[in-house]
Amino acid sequence: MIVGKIGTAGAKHTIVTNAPLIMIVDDDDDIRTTLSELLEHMKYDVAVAADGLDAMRQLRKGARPAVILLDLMMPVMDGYEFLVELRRQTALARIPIVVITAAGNAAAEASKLGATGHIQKPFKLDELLATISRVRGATDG
Amino acid sequence: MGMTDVTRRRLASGFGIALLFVVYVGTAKLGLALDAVSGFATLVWPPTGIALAALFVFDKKLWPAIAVGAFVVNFTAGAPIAAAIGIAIGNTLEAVVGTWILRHLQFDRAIARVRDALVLVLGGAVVGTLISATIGVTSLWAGGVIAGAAIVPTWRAWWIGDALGVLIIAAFLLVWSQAPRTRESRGRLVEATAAVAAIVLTTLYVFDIVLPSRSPSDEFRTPYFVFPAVMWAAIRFRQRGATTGALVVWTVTIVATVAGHGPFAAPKLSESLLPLQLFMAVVSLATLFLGAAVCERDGAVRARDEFLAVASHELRTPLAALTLQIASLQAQAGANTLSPDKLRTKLDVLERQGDRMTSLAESMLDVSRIMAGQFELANEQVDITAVICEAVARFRDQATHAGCELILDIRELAPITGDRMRIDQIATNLLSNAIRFGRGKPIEVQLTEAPTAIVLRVRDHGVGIARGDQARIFEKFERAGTRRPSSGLGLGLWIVRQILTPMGGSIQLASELGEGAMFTVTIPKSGTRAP
Repeated sequence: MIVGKIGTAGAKHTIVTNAPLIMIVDDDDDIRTTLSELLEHMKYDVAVAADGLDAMRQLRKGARPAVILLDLMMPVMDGYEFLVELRRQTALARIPIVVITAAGNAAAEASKLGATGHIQKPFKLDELLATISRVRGATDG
Repeated sequence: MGMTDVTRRRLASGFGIALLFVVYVGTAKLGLALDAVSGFATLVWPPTGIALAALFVFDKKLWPAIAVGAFVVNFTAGAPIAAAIGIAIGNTLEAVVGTWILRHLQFDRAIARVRDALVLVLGGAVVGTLISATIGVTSLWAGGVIAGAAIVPTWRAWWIGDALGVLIIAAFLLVWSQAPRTRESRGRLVEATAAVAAIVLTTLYVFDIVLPSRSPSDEFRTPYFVFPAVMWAAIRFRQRGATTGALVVWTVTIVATVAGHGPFAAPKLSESLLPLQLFMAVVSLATLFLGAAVCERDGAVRARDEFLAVASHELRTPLAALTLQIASLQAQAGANTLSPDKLRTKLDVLERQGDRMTSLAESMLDVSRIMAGQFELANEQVDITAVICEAVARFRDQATHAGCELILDIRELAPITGDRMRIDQIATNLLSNAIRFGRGKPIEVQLTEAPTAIVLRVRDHGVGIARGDQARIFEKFERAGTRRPSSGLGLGLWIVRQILTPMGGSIQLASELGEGAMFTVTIPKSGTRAP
């Protein structure tokens, strides 16, 4: 299985691996880097994007993540607009989305948006890993 | 065959003028029919309110409808042609000037702030109407229609009649001219109907039509009985309820008084005019301000809820970064893969997030201090150049991190008298905003001096602030831009202004959307007390 991994602007590279790709879309640098480190440690491939537009660009170039971890409040293109845009593209519409938000009503927002799962910031790593595998299981099966 | 846009616009505007003309003449005739003072000044003059609302809501180009309408009404009522022209000019100017005042003072037709109610009352009802009353009565007197002795009573009746037209009719039309945001539930519709029924019944009772009194002096029948029902409408249905309530009271009052009922009835209707007008003025002012105050309370509750949501959002984000970083440290410490360099980077992240939470807590504390009035400024010797340089130095890492180059033009200035910590806070808030909204473009920081003040300028080339948002962003819990909070509590600029005001300083903003923003802060050299 070939999976493309594309970093943020300026750091593009492609590797061939069997690990599933997780895309992190969050405007907070620290969260993005720490999360990708942790997921790489857990043997995932990781792509990062600082906002919805950046993520969309990577998806259009062929990135096919197994799961997208999506922050809602971001500059340029926020999570809401990103989801609308994603749903328009048949090739991308079925990628499972886990909404990760600091908003108080994460569950309600996620179900309103039709996201596959949701996690409220702050969260424990175990919680995130469990959600990722649950979401992947649900769509693989 | 298609119409061009120009034709369509001309047709629409022609239709608008024709429609306004018909409504204007119709309501004016109705008003004059109800026994006028000197034949022309009536106790109710709805056309003034209709004209003002039409020009404000639609287009000031509709003014010919008012000019022609007023001329036709007065000419057919028996005014000489010159006097009718004079009156028409007065009525048109009244609407045009009234509209100009409302626009100039940024009146919002929802009347959801006490400020808007005040603008409508003072600008629209009191000032604008003076024009029509003065020109109209002068025209009648010059045309020989009224004698010198009748000038004052006619002028007074004219002015108050027009003012009531604005207070009751314009307020009603302005508020209802905006489409409702949500459909009302059935329960609310039932309650609204009940409120209107209560207003009608109490007014009819006051006017001795419902449960007519047996004795001539009935202590249980005074005009102020209408207040509970109109207050009900205003409190539960905001300005829609308030303006409808006043309109209903007004309609019933007029009909009842004309029919010879109630406390204001006099043998000649024009004699019952002044007390009746004052009664209606009090009812409409009270409900209008009550409605505005209730709307303001709604806004304050919304702002508080939003603040709580934003504050918890802002706390959760650094907390998420903290917990993730700790998890990462644990994982790597367990696997023994932690190099000293990596450890340092991770500790930097932890420190940064800790700082973020600290400054968040500090600005929340500042808000409560400012709100409680416990905000005192020190008067100390401040090396202003050093303060600004230190603030900039603190942001160097964050700016690099965000890709923003800091371009400095900081002059060596003589020390000033002021509050060192607060001046630092001003610089800090401006710099943090510039980096946050700077889109990784260069940020210019300039410190110069004017004769009596120092001038600090922070300019970014980032997202910028739309014209319409520029006043708002200095308010509490406000951020520029979209429906959802981008980041930050929306307190930084509010705090800056709260600090600057007692210092005698000021802050100015120059910005266009997408073109970055330039904040210019002026701080007096002489401290808070006069030298």
